[in-house]
Parts: sequence; C-alpha cells; structure tokens
Amino acid sequence: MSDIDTIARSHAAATRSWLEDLEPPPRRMDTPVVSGAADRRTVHPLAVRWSPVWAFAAAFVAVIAVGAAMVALTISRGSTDPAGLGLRPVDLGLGYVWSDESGSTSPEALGAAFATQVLGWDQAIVVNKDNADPAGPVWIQISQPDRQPIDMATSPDPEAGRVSLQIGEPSTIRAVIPGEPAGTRIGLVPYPGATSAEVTVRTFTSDTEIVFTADSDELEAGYVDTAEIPDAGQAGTVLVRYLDNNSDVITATGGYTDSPTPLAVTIAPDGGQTSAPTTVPADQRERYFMRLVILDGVATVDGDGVNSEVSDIAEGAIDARCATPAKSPVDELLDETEPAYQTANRILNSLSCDVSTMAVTIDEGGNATGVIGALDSQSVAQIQQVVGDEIEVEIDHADQ
Amino acid sequence: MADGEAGSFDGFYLAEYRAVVGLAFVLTGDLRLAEDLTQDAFTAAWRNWAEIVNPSGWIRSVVSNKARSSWRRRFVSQRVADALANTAATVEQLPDDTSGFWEQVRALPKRQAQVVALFYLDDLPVSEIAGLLGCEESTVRKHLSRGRRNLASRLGVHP
Repeated sequence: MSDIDTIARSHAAATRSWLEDLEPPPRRMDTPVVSGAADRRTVHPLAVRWSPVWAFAAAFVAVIAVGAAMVALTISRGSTDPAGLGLRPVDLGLGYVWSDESGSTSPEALGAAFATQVLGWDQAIVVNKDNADPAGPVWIQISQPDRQPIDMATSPDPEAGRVSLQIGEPSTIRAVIPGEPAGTRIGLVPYPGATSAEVTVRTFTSDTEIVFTADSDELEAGYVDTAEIPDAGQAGTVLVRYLDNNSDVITATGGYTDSPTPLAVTIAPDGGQTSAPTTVPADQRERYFMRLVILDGVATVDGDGVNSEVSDIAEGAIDARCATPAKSPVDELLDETEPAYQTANRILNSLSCDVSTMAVTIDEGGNATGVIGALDSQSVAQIQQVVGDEIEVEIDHADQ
Repeated sequence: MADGEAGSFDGFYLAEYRAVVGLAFVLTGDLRLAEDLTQDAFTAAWRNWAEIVNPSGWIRSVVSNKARSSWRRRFVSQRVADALANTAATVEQLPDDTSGFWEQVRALPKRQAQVVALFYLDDLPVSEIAGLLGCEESTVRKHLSRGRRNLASRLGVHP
C-alpha cells in the first residue's frame, strides 16, 4: 500500500499536468472584473461630518497618536449579514469603536444598547464600575447570566452622545507578511466555549466594513488572516464577536487606532544620550490598539486620574509597558518640536517605571507624537542589539 | 507604471498563472472561481507591483487567503456562475481520483489544507511556506504532519 506522501505527490503531479492545458487569459489591468469591495462588505452610505473629538477623548487618544483632526461618522446601517452567522451587522466608528445611533449619552444606556444591538443579550446588567463621574470617561461592565462579563471604556462625544473607546482587551493587528501588502492578521483569544468568531473591521480608506469569520482552527491558532485588507496599516477599528455552537455571542472585544499610517518606532538608544536613533521599520511591528486605564473612579476633564497605555495580548507577544509612570497623562511630556529620540530619552529619564522600555511614535517630520511601551519581538530584538542590558523588557514567549 | 515594469509583470503573470490557478483550484474545488480569484490576485499584484519583494510568495499568500474566505467563496461562486452560465469549459475535467484527493484536502482544517497544497502542489519547502503564511517553520511542520495524518485516515492509507 502506498503511503500518503507518495499518494499526495502523485496527485500533485497529475494536477500540474492537467494545469498545463490551461491557457492564461489576457490579464486584467487595473479594473478587476470582480464587482468590487462594496459587494463583499456591509455597505453603509455615510454622511460624514468632520469634528474634533471632545476634549476628554482627545486626552486619551493623543497619547499614542496626535495630529490630524479626528473624524466622527454618522452611519446608516445596512441590513445584510455577510458572515452568515445570524448576527446583526455592526457599524463601527473611526476614532472610537461603537456608538448607539439613537444617541445614548449615559454610560449605562450605551452599554445596554450595545448589549442588545451587538451582543444580542436580552438580560444584560450594566454597571458603572467605579461610580465614576459620567461627565468624563467611564468604565462600565456588561454582564448577563452564562456569559463572560465585558468591560467597556466609554467617553462622552459631542456628536454621538457617548461612544465606546475600548471593549474588553482589544485585538492586535499586523501584516501577514512583514513588508508586503499581502493581507492583515487579526489577533484572537481562544475564550472557553468559543467555537468561532466574527470579525468586523473598518478601514481608514473605506466607508464600508469588512466582515469575515474565524473558525475553531483559527481561534486555536490565535489569529485569523484576511486578504481583504492588503495593507494592515489601513485597519482602523476592529470588533470581534466570539460565538458558541449556537452562534450566540459569549463575549466581544474591540478597539481602534486613530492613525492610518503604520507607526514608525524610534527607540532611545541610550538613556540621556542623543545619538542617532534606531528606527524599527513600521511594517515589522504590530500595531496596537490603545488600552485605557482609569486609575481612580473620578476621571475629570483635565485628565487627572487618567492614564493610558498600550498593550498587546497576542500569542507570543511581548509586553514591555511602562506600568507606573510618575506623571499622568504621559503625553504632557511630549514636545512635538524636538526629534523623537530626544523625546524618548527625556521621557526615559523623567519617568519612574517598573519597566524602562520606551518608544515614541513619530510623524513624517520625525517629531514625537506619542508614547508606546509595548513592542513586538523584532522590535525588542533590535532594541536589545542597541542597548543591551540597559533596557529591561518583559518577554512572554507563550506558545511560540 | 513604466513599460519595463509592465513587461516584468507580464512575464511574472505568464510564468505563474497556471500554478496560482492550481493552488486556488485545489483550495476551492471550483475552476471558475479559482481563475477569478487568481485574476483578482494578479490585479492586486499589478497595483502593488513596485512594493512587492517576493511576487511568487506574495501571490500565493493572497490567493490562499482569498480561497479560505468561505463567505466570499459563496458570493463569488454565485456571481461567477451567473456571469459565465453560458461559457463552455475550456479544459478537461481533472481525473476523478485526483479530484477526490483534493476534495479530502479541502475537508481538512483550513491551515492544514493550505500547507498541504503549498507543499505538494507547489512543491515549496517548509521554510518558504512559513514565510508566505507568516508563521514559524515549526508551525508549518505541525500542520503538515497533522494534515498528512488526517488525510491518511480519510483515505484509508498508510500515514
């Protein structure tokens, strides 16, 4: 009896021989015959209204990227279910994750609307986790019997009433092949009981959303790839709904990033020195969604009591966050007029951190626009080549 | 795009077309759909030609990922069927036993099916498969091993 390897090679050879009869047709030029991305997505015509996000949200958002005015979008919903899972389509925001079309203004109302419209939970209980002042950003928790409670960061918004800035632990985004526009990889978490996940992505360049399904194999692997977003840097907002065997939502995660350009990372090469920076190519690092941390229950308009950081929960990722910055918020330390590596040096010297790895995001002019503290493995490897033991990083090689 | 680049792309297209269609075909089981996905991928490659470092790997990655999207597959299948309802097939059918073999490959978990197709049909080494799928070589070996074992079980042959 032949073994499977011999059989597979035999059929592969037969297939290659069969393909020899196939004549390549004239290649398409720049207009694909396929009827277009809009057909593959949840289409919702947009009435775009440009507006600055309210000061509260800006205080958070500015930490990882600063610059262009942010966009708030009014979305009219389509009614299709492209993933075929029986879920209601979700319209995501840009500059935030989700808002209630009816304009919920209280944290609890937004949470209740999210539970009903997005999760399909009909017995949800929503609480303000820290009894924080609803005039500012507030963490809420949405719970329902037999479901995993979901924490959601919410913030007032002058246009949408109230918006969600983060849902659970946000997923990660990276290029499938570093350096090539071959697709986007979305990080997943194999939550107990989850047998599939529906992923909704909104890109910066499109007014439609891309929806696709991850199966149990992909959940186990911790990621799902899509070729529908060739450039991972264009993915702006992501919502993942984790489903059980009945296609009921057991939990969800969501996050956004507000810069359409993959962030270049410049590392301070040596604390206090201003030598030339080491720049990690933007396409060789993962992009991170902002993760909000409200340190106390009274988040006020001037940002007191509010800090922010970014983190990564992807399989095998490295978490090197600056956990206890001495000042809050961190972006007070930014000076957009100086080179990024000088900013990184200055911040390293001025903060008291549990972990002293620091990176700053830069704009096209090379000036600092934000601070990050979570790096992918390639970035850390490059950092370590430069600074050796002077940089302390926490490395989690889980399941690599 | 300069003429030289266009000529370079045409050469790439002619050299790779059959192999890419083959990969798409074994992963979808539908020749029309495979040709459509392949044209999509080449169109995307044309648009990004200046940025693509490894065109052969790039286009296989794109096609294999496109072929995995079941919702898209449903949509495109129907659209292609509608558009080409009166178009006669231009190639003979693949022999039944070979067609049946790839049907069993498609029944594998998606990642295993991808790896098996790339390893056997494209005759790619594990290192190249890892590169174009964006994962570790050890992961590719794991999927290949599991794929072989599952296939052997399904076909009732020696693993």
